[in-house]
Amino acid sequence: MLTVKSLCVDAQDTRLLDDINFSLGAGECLCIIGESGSGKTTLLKSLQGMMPMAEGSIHHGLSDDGVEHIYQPGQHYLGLPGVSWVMQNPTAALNPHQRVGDAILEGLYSARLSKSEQQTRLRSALQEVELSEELIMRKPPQLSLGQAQRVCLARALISRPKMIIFDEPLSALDAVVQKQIARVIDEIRKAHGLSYLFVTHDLGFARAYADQILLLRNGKMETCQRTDDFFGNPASIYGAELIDAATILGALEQPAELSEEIPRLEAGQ
Amino acid sequence: MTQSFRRISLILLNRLASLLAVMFGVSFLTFLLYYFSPGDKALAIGQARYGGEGDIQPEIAAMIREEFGLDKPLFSQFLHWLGPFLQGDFGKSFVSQEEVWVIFVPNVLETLSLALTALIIGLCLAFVLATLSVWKPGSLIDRFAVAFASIGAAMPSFWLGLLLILFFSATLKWLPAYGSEGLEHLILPATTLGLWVTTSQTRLFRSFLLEAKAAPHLEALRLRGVSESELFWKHILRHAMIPAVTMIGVDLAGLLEGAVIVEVIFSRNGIGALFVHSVLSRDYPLIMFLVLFSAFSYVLINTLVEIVQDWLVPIKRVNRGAVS
Amino acid sequence: MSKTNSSLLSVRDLSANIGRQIVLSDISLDAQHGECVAIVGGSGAGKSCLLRCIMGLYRPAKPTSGQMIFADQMIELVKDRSVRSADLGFAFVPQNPQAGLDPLKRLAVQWKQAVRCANRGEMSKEEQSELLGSLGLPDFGSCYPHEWSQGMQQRLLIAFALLARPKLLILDEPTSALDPLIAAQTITRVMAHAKEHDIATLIVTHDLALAARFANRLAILSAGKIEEFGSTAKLMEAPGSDYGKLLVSNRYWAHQSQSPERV
Repeated sequence: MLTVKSLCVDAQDTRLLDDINFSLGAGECLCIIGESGSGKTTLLKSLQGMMPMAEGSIHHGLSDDGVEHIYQPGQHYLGLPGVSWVMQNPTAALNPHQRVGDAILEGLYSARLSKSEQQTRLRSALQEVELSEELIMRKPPQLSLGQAQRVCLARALISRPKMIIFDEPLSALDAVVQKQIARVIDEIRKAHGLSYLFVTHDLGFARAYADQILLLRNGKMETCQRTDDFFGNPASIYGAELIDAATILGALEQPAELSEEIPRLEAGQ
Repeated sequence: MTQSFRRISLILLNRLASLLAVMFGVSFLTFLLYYFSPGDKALAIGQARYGGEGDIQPEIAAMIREEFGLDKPLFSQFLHWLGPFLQGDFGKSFVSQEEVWVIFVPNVLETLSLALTALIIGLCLAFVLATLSVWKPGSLIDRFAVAFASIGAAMPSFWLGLLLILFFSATLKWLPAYGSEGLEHLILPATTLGLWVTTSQTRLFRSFLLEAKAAPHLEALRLRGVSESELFWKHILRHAMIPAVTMIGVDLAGLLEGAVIVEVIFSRNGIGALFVHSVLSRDYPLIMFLVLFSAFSYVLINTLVEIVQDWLVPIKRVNRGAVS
Repeated sequence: MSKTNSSLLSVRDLSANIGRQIVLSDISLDAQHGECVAIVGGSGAGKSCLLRCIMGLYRPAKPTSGQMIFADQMIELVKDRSVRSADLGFAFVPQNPQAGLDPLKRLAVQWKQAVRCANRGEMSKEEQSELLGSLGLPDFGSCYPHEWSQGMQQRLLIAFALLARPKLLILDEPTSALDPLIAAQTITRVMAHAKEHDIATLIVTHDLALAARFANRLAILSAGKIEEFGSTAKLMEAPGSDYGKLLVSNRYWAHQSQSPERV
């Protein structure tokens, strides 16, 4: 789906990203792990075409024609086709004066669909993110953060993308809500065979849901491994330190066995 | 120390460039206004010089025309003024034949003394009123202060001036009504202007203080045991000063421009009065100089404000033009 | 009080309103000397209101009933509007540095002010360096807050809290503003320091996993009520309330299945 080779991004005199390599297959989830300042945002911006490549190339098979396209330094491109985005702060991502239903339908801005088709898609998107239809007429300030983020997710889904890029979508949420929405996100991926590029600093999420982990530090790629390999045998010391830290914070605990079925929060929380 | 010196020099350099541009633009525009104003310039000059004793003879008019190059094209007339100006020759008043500079200096000193006194009186009063009203927002004293400021803003300064004269001069005979000789002559006009300053600054300062009081870090400071008075004087006030300085600069510029009305009412020979008289008598060199002085003082005050702000706010702006 | 109370902090029947809306009802909890107690709850549960009532910050939530006993001193929560400050033995670490440092004043000046106001006399240079060093912080120099990174500022807030030699250290969402590496380092150091100096800690967080790692006892707060309060081990094993069960079973990320389905 998406392959990045030796990507380098410069800004004035500094090299923001150096020699980034990864490959994301269809239906896979790749977690980009890094602390602030590691270059995560720069990487996303360069995928979007907002920051010019200094070296390297981006290959993707996301177009409708199924052909592999290549972007190289010097080329201008306005983002990857067939890719939706979900960002960190749902309050900032949603127009506070726009009703939820309209906000979600905005995801269809480029498609030409009949009204009834739009409504059908709207309803199915809402179902997938587990929001009740009553919320269509509400406005974002009336929603909880978790609901607002589900709205953003629905908006990303409605255009039937091949890939979704997430930029720390769970960081602003409560621990419990994080887990719920993470489950929803994962189920959607499995149901539609979507590819995910998921930026986060939370190793707990990565271990639970990622197929691959790309570790960034100060603009350099520390390692890119499959999840099990990373947690079993991290290829970098920094990675091992991160795993230790996550353990201390309790993010990597696993139940020996769950005593009960995990109760779901009511739909739309 | 050298770091702040560098920063200040950079501010000054930036300002210098814009100052020159402003001065040039203002002077040219004013010249254009004069140039296109109706009436024969030569006659007007002759009239002003020889004091309206009937019509000016054509020979004298021709002489004047030649002296001032009044039949030359627009731009060379402008340069005719600009050239000597840049060398320090500000010209002579058409009316009194005195050097513009000589006329200007005592007047500007008058205005300065009036302006600074008014500013100080006004600011002190505004500070007291704003602090009291912020002490307990919504209380009686708060509402009184706000009402006072609103009423004051609605009061025309000439009306207030006249009232003060009526009360303190005519009736009580405590203070002189006009003239500029001594300190007591300063009191009434400074109070009139000062009240104008108070009304504009009280509301502003009050809202700046309220905003500063709502800053998030104050609670943590309280929890550390910092007393309320220390919080006010060292933290809240400092925060409120930052926007306040800008607004005080605005008022100071206005004051310097020569609170015309007040000066006329109290018969003081300040810049404002000078402005009025020079425009009325078409005293072109004086007008040009005064206009330029206005522009210059605005830029100067803005620069001072910027320097003070730079000193007050430790988070420096990233772009300072040439700064790397 | 004739009976010696071994609890350092004891809150009884605290209720609070914002305007007419009830935000806290009948909160009772306690903390022993040197113990770590965590208050866990989702956003909107009332955690910050609870903290503020304990600390005497009565805006916007005002207590309508309740008492508090701290270090054998009774405090009537409704009547006593004074801030429970450092010289009483409280220390508070806010969630982010904007809420703790004055951006206009140099760090060294703020530090001196804190030392002075904590009523603890002078602090020697060595003591200062030791405390700062234990949190991985350099000397202030003539720095302003914005010249340090967010992480450093946050750790400095902890230093500010600790310099007062408090009996009770209150941490508001201690890890949310920090990157995981620094967060882990910081919280371990803080808890070590607390243990060493017998300082009780009250941690407010939405992350049950974090609370479970460090707290001796947990209070689960939901919609202004304490659903459960008890030892961590017991609560984790067998939560009594529905909300407790919800929290406990949701504290793990779901276990990844062996072979993810591909469409």
